[in-house]
Formats: sequence, structure tokens, C-alpha cells
Amino acid sequence: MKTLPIETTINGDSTEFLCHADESLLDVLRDRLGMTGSKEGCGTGDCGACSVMMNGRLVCSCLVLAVETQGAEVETIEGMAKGEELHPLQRVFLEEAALQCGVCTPGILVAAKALLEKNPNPTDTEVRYWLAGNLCRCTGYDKIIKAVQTAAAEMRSA
Amino acid sequence: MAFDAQTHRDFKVIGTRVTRPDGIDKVTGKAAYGADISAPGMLHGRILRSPHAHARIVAIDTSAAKALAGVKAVVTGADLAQPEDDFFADVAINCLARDKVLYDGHAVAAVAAKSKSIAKQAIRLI
Repeated sequence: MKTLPIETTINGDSTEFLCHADESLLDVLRDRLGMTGSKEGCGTGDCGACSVMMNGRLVCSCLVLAVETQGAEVETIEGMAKGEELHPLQRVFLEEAALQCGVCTPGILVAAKALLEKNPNPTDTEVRYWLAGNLCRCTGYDKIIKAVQTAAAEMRSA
Repeated sequence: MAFDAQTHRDFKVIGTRVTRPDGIDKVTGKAAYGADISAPGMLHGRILRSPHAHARIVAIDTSAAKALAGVKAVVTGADLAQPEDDFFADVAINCLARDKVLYDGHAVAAVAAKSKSIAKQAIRLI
């Protein structure tokens, strides 16, 4: 199969890559660009572990064809911390132990950040609904919801 | 001194909330899990699973998958030795079904190929 050249922006950096027409954005991120922060849980859009932002919209990168990102702005978990400084969500997830094995964590952080940009003051129910597409098999969702609320409060007062 | 004479002591770790040592790697996506590791010359594996909860395997034709360019190996239960020990025989059957699949999702065949997409294509040819 022929490879296609794609130009896109990932975490603010313009990026070029070659990919096959049937490759997903997730495969390109992980296998071609070495950005393994986004995880493949199911590959069918059920688990949310591969969540990234594309043109300001939260998407499952396993369901996006890499060629669709031509000219798009993609944001992944790797772009969330600014250098050494963690995003408030990342810091609070650590402080409140809202992760265990950490495979769902990158997806949940990207999704939660998208929620707080849209709605800085969500109710618990809104957080639960927003994160309904992100499956976690170890921590249980309580600590995750609490951590998102703590971070939201912190970001509102900042 | 009796053990219960000492009622309170400040420990460095016990009784405190410590942040997990692998935490920063995990929240920044830097943590390397098994699936995140790649090595030079690495092959990609893929497994064909049973769509049936309980069924006899009449025949598996792997010839088309084996003939696909980039496919390095295709294995089925028939390629595995049958251990004499009951325990290991059960383990072997759990790895790859032999004559009968025992659950929906039971592994039936496995492919190793040069890339993920070739492995995926080969699975469709079995």
C-alpha cells in the first residue's frame, strides 16, 4: 500500500508523517511518532483510553483515520503539562490518588480537561456523564470524579 | 519497655499520604507499558477469536494468511504440543483452542507479521 504524506499540528508543533490510508490516528501517534501516552484499550471507541483533542473536539483517536488530521490541530496527553509544570488536573489526580494502573488516566485527563474548558463549574452528574466514555477498571470512578471537582475548583479560583 | 507503652511515633512514610513514585510518569503519559515498547525488527501479533460460545472446530485454513506478504508465522492449537500433565494441558487449551472452542472469545489462531495492519489483514484471511 502506498503511504500518504500528512501535515498536521500536534501539541502546537507542526508535524509531518507518512501513513497508510487505513491507519488510525492512534496507530500513527503510537507507532510512527512514538507518542505512546494515548493507549489502545479496545480499538472500537468504547473505552476512551485513546482520547485526544482534534480541532477542539474530544475524539477517540482509534476511530479517526490518520489522513483526516491533514491540517488539523491535535492535542494529546503529552502536551498537557507545560514543561515541568503539571496541569492542575494532573497534579490533583496524583494528590488524590485518582489512578492506579494508569492506563485509562491519559484519556480521562484529556477528557476532563475538555470538560472544564467547556464548563468550568460542572455538577458531579455532569462530570460522570462526560466521563462515561472513559472506562477505568481499577480505581473506581469516585476518586476520579472528586479529583476533577477539586481541580475544577482550583482552576476557577486561579 | 512494653510494646503498648509507645502510643505515638512520627514515621517518614507510615501514616502519611505519599504520592506514588510512578505517578508523574503515569499522568504525563510517559509511563511505558508492555504495549508501548518497540524493538528493532519487532513483529506484531494478532489473535483470531471464536465468535461462538461453544462449538466444534471442523477445519482451520491458514494457507491464504500464510501466503500474504509480510506474514512470518500463523499458529493454531494443532501446532502446539499436547502436554501430558492435566494442568498444563488445560493451560495449552486456554492459550489456543484445539478441537473445540469453550467460550466466546476463545483464541483460535495467532498471526505474527511485519506490521499491525498486515497482521490484521492476515487474521481476516483465516
